[in-house]
Amino acid sequence: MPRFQAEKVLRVTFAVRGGEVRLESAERLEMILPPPVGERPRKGRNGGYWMEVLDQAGNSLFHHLLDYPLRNSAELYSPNHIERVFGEPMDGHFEILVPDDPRARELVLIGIPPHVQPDHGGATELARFAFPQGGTE
Amino acid sequence: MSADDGAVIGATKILDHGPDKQCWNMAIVGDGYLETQLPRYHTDVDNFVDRFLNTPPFDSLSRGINIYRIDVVSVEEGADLPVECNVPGIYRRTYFDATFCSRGPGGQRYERLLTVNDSLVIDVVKRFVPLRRQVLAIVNSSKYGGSGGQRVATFSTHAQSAEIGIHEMGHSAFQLGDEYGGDGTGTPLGEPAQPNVTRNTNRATNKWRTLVAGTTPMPSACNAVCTASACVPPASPPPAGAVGTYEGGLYSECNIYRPLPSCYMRDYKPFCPVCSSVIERVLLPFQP
Repeated sequence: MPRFQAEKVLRVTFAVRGGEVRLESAERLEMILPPPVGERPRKGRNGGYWMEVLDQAGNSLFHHLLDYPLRNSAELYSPNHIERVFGEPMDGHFEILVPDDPRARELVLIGIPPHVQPDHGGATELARFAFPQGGTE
Repeated sequence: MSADDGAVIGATKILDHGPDKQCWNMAIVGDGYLETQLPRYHTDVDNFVDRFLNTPPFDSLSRGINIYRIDVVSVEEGADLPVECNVPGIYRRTYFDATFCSRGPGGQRYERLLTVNDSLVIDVVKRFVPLRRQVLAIVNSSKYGGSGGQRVATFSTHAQSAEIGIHEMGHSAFQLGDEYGGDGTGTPLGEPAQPNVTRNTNRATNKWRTLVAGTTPMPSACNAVCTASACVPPASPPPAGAVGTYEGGLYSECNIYRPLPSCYMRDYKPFCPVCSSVIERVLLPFQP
């Protein structure tokens, strides 16, 4: 496979406070963006967390899987054992790299609401943000 | 307990395979190192990098990877171990405020949960490596511990703690799911979005079907400890190392399947072929 060319990319940083997510900053960069991992997940069908980039008609342009962005879990390590514990969300940040696509209009965070046990249903829309346009930070 | 407790010295590109905009860039910071201990920090970083680059499939993909070592010194060495986990408590003045016994979700403290001030780490890293893909923090303590996170993976200098960093990269950089089981808490009802765990044992539609041999039974193994499962045991076990569907994963012993009995995302064993293929797919665009 030939080396990809760098393209315009957005690094979007989100802040999590009390289980609520807000878009904190967006940084325009020029770098290689690998294709999305895995098949595109679907609301209501798939479990987990992911961010989708949507165009004006609501079509998905890109997706990125996320590892517990609401920080309602933590992995506990031992030398020969790993386990994950769940509880109330912690405050913090997460960030993603997405294509700086002129067709993009919205970013949608999909996953399990923080106060619902993940085994009680499929992923749903958690938050929606206007796609950052122009400028940096 | 903050940036007043040390200084940023500088950054060195210790693995250089080309311009940052063409490469997959990792940044490593240290915390709890005195200025006189920087040589030890450099050795600790080199040891981790050696381990990382000798872990398949990274060993065959390193020509697309750059690694930066950022030197940061602290007023005191080590990390906090608060009184909640160790009476009378140990408190060290370190630049990134490394702390064992950190709070997890719900506020409970866990002795081996080692964290740093990730916002401060990112502030420092972006000065030197604006095109970062993965950030790691090595803490100068021989006590076992670490933590993950969307932005910074943290681990101590304990010989086995480096495994935490590589496992966490599986999540943050390659979007892999956990392959270990549990009591079902946290297991989603639907098909997991992650590429390496599934509920689907149908060889025609399974998400990693291209890696499953026609002779491998599906499901490939049922979990003996699981009494409430739809898994039908195969007539004969699969050959050792055969990719298939092995029951147990994503925090449940039952009805969730992983590609092989062992994997870095389960038990720190070598990445299974499914996880390796995902890592390769992400890193291939950076290869010369």
